[in-house]
Amino acid sequence: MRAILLPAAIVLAALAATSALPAVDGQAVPGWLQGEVAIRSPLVAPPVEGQPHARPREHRRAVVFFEAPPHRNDGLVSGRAEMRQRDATFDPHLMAITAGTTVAFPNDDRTYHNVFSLSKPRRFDLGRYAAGRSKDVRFERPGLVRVFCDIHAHMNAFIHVFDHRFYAATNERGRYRIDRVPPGTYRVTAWYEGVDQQTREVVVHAGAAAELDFVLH
Amino acid sequence: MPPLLALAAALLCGFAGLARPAAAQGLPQAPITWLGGRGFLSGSVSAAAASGGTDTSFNSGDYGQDTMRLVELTLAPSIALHDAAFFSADLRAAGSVNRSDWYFRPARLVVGVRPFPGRPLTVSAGLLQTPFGQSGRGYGRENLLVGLPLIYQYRTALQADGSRGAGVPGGEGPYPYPEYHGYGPPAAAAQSYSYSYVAPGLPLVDTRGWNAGVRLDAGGDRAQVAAALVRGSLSNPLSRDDRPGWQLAGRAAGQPIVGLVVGVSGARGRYARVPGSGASLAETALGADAEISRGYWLVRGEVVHSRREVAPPGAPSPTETLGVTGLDVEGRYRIAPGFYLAGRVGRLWFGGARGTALSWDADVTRFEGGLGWSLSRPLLVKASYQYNRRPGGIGREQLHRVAMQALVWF
Repeated sequence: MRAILLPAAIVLAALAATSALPAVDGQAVPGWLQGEVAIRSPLVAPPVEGQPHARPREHRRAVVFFEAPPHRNDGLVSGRAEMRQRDATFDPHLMAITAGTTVAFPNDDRTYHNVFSLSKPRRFDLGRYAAGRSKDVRFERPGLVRVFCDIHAHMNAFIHVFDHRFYAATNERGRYRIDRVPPGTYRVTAWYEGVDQQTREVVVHAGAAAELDFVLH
Repeated sequence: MPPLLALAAALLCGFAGLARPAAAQGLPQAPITWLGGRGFLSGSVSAAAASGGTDTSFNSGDYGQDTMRLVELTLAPSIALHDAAFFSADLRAAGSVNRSDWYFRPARLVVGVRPFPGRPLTVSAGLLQTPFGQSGRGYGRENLLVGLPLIYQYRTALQADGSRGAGVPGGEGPYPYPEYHGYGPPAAAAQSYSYSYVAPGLPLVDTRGWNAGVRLDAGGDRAQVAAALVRGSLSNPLSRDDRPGWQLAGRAAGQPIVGLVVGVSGARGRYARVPGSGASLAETALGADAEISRGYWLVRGEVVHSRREVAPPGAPSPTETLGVTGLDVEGRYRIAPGFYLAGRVGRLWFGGARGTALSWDADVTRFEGGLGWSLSRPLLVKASYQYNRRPGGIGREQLHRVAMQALVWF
């Protein structure tokens, strides 16, 4: 009897142990990365033409991404996104997308806008179009795309295009979360438009959250 | 290298260094901020070169410089003193690459207030720009081509002291001012001229100089109104002035449909005094302009009619008025991201002068066509061909030029 119970106990113990680390397709259960990006000197938006001394707006959102992701071009969801032209600003001012995503640029203002970019990953010029209309741009190549309006010099925005899914833009409180990260050690970068980017190393354990905060000056 | 050119280069390098790296990508792409967002600095550096040597016949600009062979640096700092008050300036240095004709001057020094929070009303005082026409094209970024529109650049024979250039050499004209030659139709051109140089006179509209006074701006997206009470005149702006009287100028613009902007402008003031008597010489200008755009097209045009009083030597007061009408029409088409084609046609018609069959200056026709290429957003290179024709007068009758301009702005 003991001869049976002992192996059974070992098997059960092993099962219990592995249940804490469930495998997915033969791989360890992923963890996730989360944290906060604190921006000490947030960039102030340039003055709005026509109201050059209105109260300045601060841009506080950042992008966090893996320098060497576990895998690229795998499981990417390249859907649609939207960057609106509203009150002579781009909304959102900062966007992070996967390659293959199509971004719509609706004009919500009563005046013309002319969205364009001369960035290497994607050069485009949508021409002038009026309120209620929208034009699409598909972003295929990874990289940073700066977006401007040819009519309103103060209007600008950023679109980060990634060929992997290990990135996130911070919310209004500076928090971010990157899900489904395979266990391992990674170099992670926090990027903010107004300062030098910062790269730090982090260990992600299976099935657990890894906390990684950044302070950008 | 002239000292100011070196200063321009140094400042440009400084801007690139000041700009925060992640945002700049080499060159600043937005105004530089300081004072926690209450201060902004924008500006530009441009350099232009043209074929055919220095041209003072058709492209003479400030201080007699050739506007198509000019290096120019502008800096525009602004500070929000309070939620409802601000200070802004526009500092400008310009000169030729190979000449010692550089100058530096504050083109704008303004303190403004917004007396009613939330309402689009601004009152500013100091050195300011007279509201008139599509005057924003004075600097390189707003200018589609290398050359400037005739209305805003061409120096007529009318001098700032009120003397008229229509006097035919040799004293045959009604006001024989040998030092200020004017031009006539071809018949006059056949006459024997004893002078080969004509001092550049006043343009129809000068947006590069700024007047001292008070300005009011109101309106929103659909309609704007601006009015100013200033010391100088539309063609002869001054910050210091011993002339009697003030200039009143205004502009009203509306956007009846999206993509179409129409405007009317008017100005009346004193541009000179009669030597001796001190009587003032009045200047009146009316203008209308329109801009329409859609997709990759932009077309805009402007017509200005100006009338200025003149007085013959010895006369205590003005005896006649000289009229001139100017027209500029230009268009742009974007052929690819960063590339555009542009063209402009300009024409000046000069009115007659009393006592002679001649017009007081020779009519001028200009065509300019070219392209622009933005290597990056703040770096623009333009190339253009310009043709000028003036059937009569001293100097060249025709001028063909090829020009290039490089411009960095932020």
